[in-house]
Amino acid sequence: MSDFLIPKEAVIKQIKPQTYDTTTYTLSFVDPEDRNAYSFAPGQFNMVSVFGFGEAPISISSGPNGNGTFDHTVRAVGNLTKALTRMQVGDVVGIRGPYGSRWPVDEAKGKDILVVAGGIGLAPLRPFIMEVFRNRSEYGRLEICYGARTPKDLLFTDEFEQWRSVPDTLVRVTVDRAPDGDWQGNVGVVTTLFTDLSVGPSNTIALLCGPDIMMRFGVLDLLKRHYAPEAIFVSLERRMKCGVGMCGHCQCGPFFVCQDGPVFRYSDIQNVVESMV
Amino acid sequence: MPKTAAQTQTALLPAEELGRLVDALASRYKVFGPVAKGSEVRFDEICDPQDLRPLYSHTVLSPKKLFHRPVEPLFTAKRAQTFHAASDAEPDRPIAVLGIHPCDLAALLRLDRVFDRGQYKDPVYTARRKDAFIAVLNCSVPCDKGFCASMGTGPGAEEGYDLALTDIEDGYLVEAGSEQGRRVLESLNLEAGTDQDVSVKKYALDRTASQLRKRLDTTDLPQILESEFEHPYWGELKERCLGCANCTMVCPTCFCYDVADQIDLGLTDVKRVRSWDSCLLVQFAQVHGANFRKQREARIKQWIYHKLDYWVAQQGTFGCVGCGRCIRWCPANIDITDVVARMRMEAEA
Repeated sequence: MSDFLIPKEAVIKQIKPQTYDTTTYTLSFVDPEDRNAYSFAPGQFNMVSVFGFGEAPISISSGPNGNGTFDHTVRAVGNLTKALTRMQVGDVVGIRGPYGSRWPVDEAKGKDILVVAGGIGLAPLRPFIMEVFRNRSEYGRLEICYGARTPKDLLFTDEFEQWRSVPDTLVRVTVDRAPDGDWQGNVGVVTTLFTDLSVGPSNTIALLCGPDIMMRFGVLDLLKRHYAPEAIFVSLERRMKCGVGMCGHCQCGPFFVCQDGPVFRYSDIQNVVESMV
Repeated sequence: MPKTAAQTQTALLPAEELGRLVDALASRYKVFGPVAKGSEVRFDEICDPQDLRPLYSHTVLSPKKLFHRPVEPLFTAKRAQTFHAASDAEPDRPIAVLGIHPCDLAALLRLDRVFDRGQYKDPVYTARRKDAFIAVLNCSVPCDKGFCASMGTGPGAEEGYDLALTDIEDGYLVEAGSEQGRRVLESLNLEAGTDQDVSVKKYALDRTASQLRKRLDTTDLPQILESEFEHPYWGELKERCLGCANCTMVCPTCFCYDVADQIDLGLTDVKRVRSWDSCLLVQFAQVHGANFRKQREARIKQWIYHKLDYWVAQQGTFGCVGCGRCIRWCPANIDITDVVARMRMEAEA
């Protein structure tokens, strides 16, 4: 019986610490058949199992690369994610997926792009950024506004220089507070960067991912700046146990976030109270 | 899976010969039916046809529990360097359900669509349903909490059965709704039903429908509920609701499940188990750092809106079949038909 609820084995190929509590794991399926059958789109997630600890939905943080590997960037905050931190290269986890909707990779072609990320929200957006870089000429300007609580919470900082070297790409970073004093950059919530955006509302697609409150105020601010609700995309987080619209946990109004989302066009959910956005 | 009635072959089964139907099914199926358990009737395997209570008014749980089980191991594995996940879903004998009421059958048909999403099918549920035999028992007598007539799910079943039985006082009028049903009916070698029997059945079911005391007006219901989402009445309802989850446990269409790993004392053998979950419970929509329905008001609304609004968007039907169990088992006497009547009144005011 083909059973989608049974995870497939994937081996940890590489472990890269991002911050004091966040780590990127590069995974590859053990069985070559699984490896060949697997492909994903930016914005999708996997159900990740650590056996004995359960299973959780975690977004993919690498771009589609064709070499059979994929990354998960994980903050150790729960039983399962803490168990992951105790694992080593060569250890095996369980993977089901990929599930869910994708960032508008095609719709964004020929347009300017505004990426707004908060905290670990940059992880699900990174595959989209990689995809833009892979086909750079097909997209217009790319402005990335990234906010985190403190400088210590910033992810992928070692890549920013490279991102900035890509033509027509702007990477702007801010932190809510800089307690240690050696921070030279912006201080303030991510929307404070919106006052001098390099992209305008008329031909830009905006993608947001981060805590609910960041997305809510980010969207409100963009609407005030005349971005159309149809041109704004958000990625929602919900509790999930199945990934395919059967366990019921992720329901948000009439939507199953695991299947209809996690990426939603804002205009599709703006009247859904429970979207919290 | 049973098909919509194609043949209209009918027969008359004397009430005292119900056991013959059980026997005919027992050769192929594990036969479940309403049997007495203490002061209640519940769906259980029929070991002795004498235990059958075909005149039952209601059961605590619907036969949903036979297909979407309250607790179910998904697979077992070894917790080691690598783990080997293998499904241990043993092939059961196919299930026959005798005496399921039309509301509960309608609920199964809705669940069929939940657990078969085309690309993804729940392997356990769909396998059990595919091979199941359904002998529905139409309701010749109304129950006190049901409102199936309002929801279009009863008192007579119109689809999804292999055999339909209706108590017409001289016995059961038995109608075949599928090829398997027709074959079972043939093997019983019964006297054919007459046109008059069919008229008596129709009369009995019409009478039941007219005698149901509970009603739920579904006209424009999703729009009404959406317009009243912020109404203060929900705050009043929250004060009465205990958040006990009884309504979701007895509901024949509630499908939500939790999944957890159970590990043995030696820390090697792991079983991944799913069990019924409830949107009335506080941790249901909780993630790290956020709970999307922390307030009880949000949770009771989620349940009601899912049944009567979101389900319509998801499946094109209501998620409530009017069985009345949530009314019967609510310790706070919350009645979904009252809630709807109140919201309709508020919307029209």
